[in-house]
Amino acid sequence: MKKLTIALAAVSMIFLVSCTEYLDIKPYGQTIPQTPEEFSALLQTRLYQIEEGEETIIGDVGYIADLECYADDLESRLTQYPSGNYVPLYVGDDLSDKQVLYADLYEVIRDCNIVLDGLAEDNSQDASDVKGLAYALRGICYYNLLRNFCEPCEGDASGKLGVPLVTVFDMEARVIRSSFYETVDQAADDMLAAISCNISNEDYMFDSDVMQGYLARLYFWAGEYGQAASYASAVLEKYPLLSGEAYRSMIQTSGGKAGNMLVKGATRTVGSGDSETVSYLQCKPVSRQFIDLFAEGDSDIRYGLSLGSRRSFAKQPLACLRSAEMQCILMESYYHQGREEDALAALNELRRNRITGVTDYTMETLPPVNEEDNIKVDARGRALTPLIYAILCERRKELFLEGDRWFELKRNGRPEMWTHRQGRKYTTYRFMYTFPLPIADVILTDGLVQNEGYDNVR
Amino acid sequence: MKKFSKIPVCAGAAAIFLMSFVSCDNASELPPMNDGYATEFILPDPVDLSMDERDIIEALQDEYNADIAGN
Repeated sequence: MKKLTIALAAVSMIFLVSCTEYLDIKPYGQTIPQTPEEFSALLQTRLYQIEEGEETIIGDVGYIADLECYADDLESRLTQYPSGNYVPLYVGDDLSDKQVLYADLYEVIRDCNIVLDGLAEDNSQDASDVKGLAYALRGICYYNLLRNFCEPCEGDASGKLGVPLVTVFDMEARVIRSSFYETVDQAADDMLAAISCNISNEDYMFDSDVMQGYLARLYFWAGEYGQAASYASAVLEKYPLLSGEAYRSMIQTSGGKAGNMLVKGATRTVGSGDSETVSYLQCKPVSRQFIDLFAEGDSDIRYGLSLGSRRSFAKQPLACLRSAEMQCILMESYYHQGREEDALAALNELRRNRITGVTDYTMETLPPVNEEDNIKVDARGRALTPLIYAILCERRKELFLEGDRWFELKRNGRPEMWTHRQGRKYTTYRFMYTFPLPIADVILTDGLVQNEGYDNVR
Repeated sequence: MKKFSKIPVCAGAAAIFLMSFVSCDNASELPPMNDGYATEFILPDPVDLSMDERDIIEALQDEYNADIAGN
């Protein structure tokens, strides 16, 4: 009998140890990726989402529409209802939802980390392409996190916070925030690594040219104007500015990439959802101040492409990276480097490509700063001069309805603005330009610092 | 005495044996992150428009109406 008892106890002990690793990831009917092709499946999903339209990596019409509602090219104080109920009145309407954007960005980073951790050393071009794509997506996600969830550079970002840097796949990791410049370095390293992989698969979208464009964007946002100008020039050499009908055709092409666009989101989506979003967005008339930027009227090709009748907009919202943005980066970078003549020349070059019969600006003929503009200081916190103001205005016209103005306001002084609904005044406060980190992350991670202004939750 | 000690041992062994079949159900699920946490930020409340602000809105509206009437 004693032997039976011991035997039963021993068998029981075996069952007690059976579940020690039950939290390990198990391939329930799925494949643990091993080859470059299998790893690429993880990222193919992301590419498919970019083509179909998403709001995390490149964006789509809905994403751009939201950004335009937060900014001032459309006059929020003239919002018409009931359409106005379907779009944000101001950024405050969406701030809590930005927690989802943060989580989505880190989900993409997680997928990239799985690929970069797990893909064995392999000298094949396929492996190099997959790694390059993972680096590219991770770099772009860190750039997007920096722009949305960190304060802007404003001359010197020493002491400003970046975002948590997660570069390996670890479900248990609880990472606190890096510095602003550490985040810039991480994004730049990833983008440079993507370039060194020399992606040759055209389906992967993010080739060396695209990543040079993103490096220009990143360094421009970080206030590193020498690097920004260098990468912007490199892109412009390969993708020169378009003008006339070629430009018109690019802006009016719906669907796929066109003209000198390097990359574009939602290339497969030309559906009723987009039309609906655009029709709702029309509840906000184009602001008088924006219209007045077109001093040359119809001679400026952008005038007719941007504006419709009855203060509506004619341009389709665009989520893309195109070479005119590089020209805007170039002229402003020259300005901040003290190369004012070069900045003026770059500004005139853009204007010659857009305005028929235009006379070049000289330092003496630059229009004065409009004191009514929401932007009062430049990206380094200095008073606006006629030259930097002309540069900012040209960018504003060029990138209208491309989701740029919101980030321009953030980069240039974070001005407070107000709008109204039902007799109440809603203010876009300075802190609202920097979105909040998710509440749960801040609670669960010791030492993770929330952005200013988001202490009260429910 | 021996008879009494055998019953709990057998019962315990049987219970552990049976529990082993149910212990790993849904092992891959993660608890929802937001359970028990707040999800919304409280922002500064809107305030009533002042008379000056109402005038600004009225001027904007007038300018807009004149603009679209002229189009």
